[in-house]
Amino acid sequence: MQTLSRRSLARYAANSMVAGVPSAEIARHLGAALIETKKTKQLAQLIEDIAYELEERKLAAHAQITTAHVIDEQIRKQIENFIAKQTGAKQVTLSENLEPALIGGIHIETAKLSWDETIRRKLTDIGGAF
Amino acid sequence: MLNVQFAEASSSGISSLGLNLKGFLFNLITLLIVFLILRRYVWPKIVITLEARRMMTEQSIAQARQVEEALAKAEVRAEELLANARVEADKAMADAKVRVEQLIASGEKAADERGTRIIQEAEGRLAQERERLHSELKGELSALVVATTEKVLRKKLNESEDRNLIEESLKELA
Repeated sequence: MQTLSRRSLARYAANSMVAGVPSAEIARHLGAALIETKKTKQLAQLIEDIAYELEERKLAAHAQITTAHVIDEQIRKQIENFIAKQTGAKQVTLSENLEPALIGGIHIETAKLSWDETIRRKLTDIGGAF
Repeated sequence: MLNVQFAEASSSGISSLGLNLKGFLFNLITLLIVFLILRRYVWPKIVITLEARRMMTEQSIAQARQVEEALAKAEVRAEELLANARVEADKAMADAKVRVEQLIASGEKAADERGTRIIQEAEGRLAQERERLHSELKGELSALVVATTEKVLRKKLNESEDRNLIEESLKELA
């Protein structure tokens, strides 16, 4: 029996999305494959792999935004534009986290790329420079 | 008759001098007999005994001389040995003195080298300790600077300023 790697499952999911297969059906197939290959604990990693595949194909990019303060809609729009420009993705989605320990600035992370422009990181750099 | 004549003679000649010729002759003969007996039986033994004693005495004297000579030789030998011993002792003392001086010199050299090594090691440890303290100080200083900066920024950086900061960051990244 041929074993399905997580990477090949992600590629199958991306291909199915491009082909217009309904999301529910894709999810059902992926679930069946994970159960069959006894890799249900790798669901989170599979989702990351699918996001990577979609970003790689410039179809969609999902970014995790972490800031110390709540961002407004205008900033959110600027971030979407920035990510669309950097990844070339047609569709950009964001999820936001608040982390006061960052003090200020922004941390952006997609499946492929990452930017850390937080004050916390800059202070750490200063400390390291000593 | 002889006795008469002898008595007459004695009364007339020697007897007139107060000597008893008869008694004299008797005594002379007795003395001769005693002498002969002594010569025959006693004298040789006495001579042998005396000879033996003489020889013994001579042997004793010779032995005493030999002892004296041996003693003299021994004294001479002892003197020689003593003199040699003194010479050897002087030589040994001189050697020992030289050896002690060498040992002292080598000990001083070893002590100098050890002292130099100890000083070098101490200097090395001191340098390491200085470097460690320097690093610790730098670390503490940087931590203090970061902590102070963080406190200041937390007070000064409000939501609006953070927004501006994010905007600037996005522009710089683009």
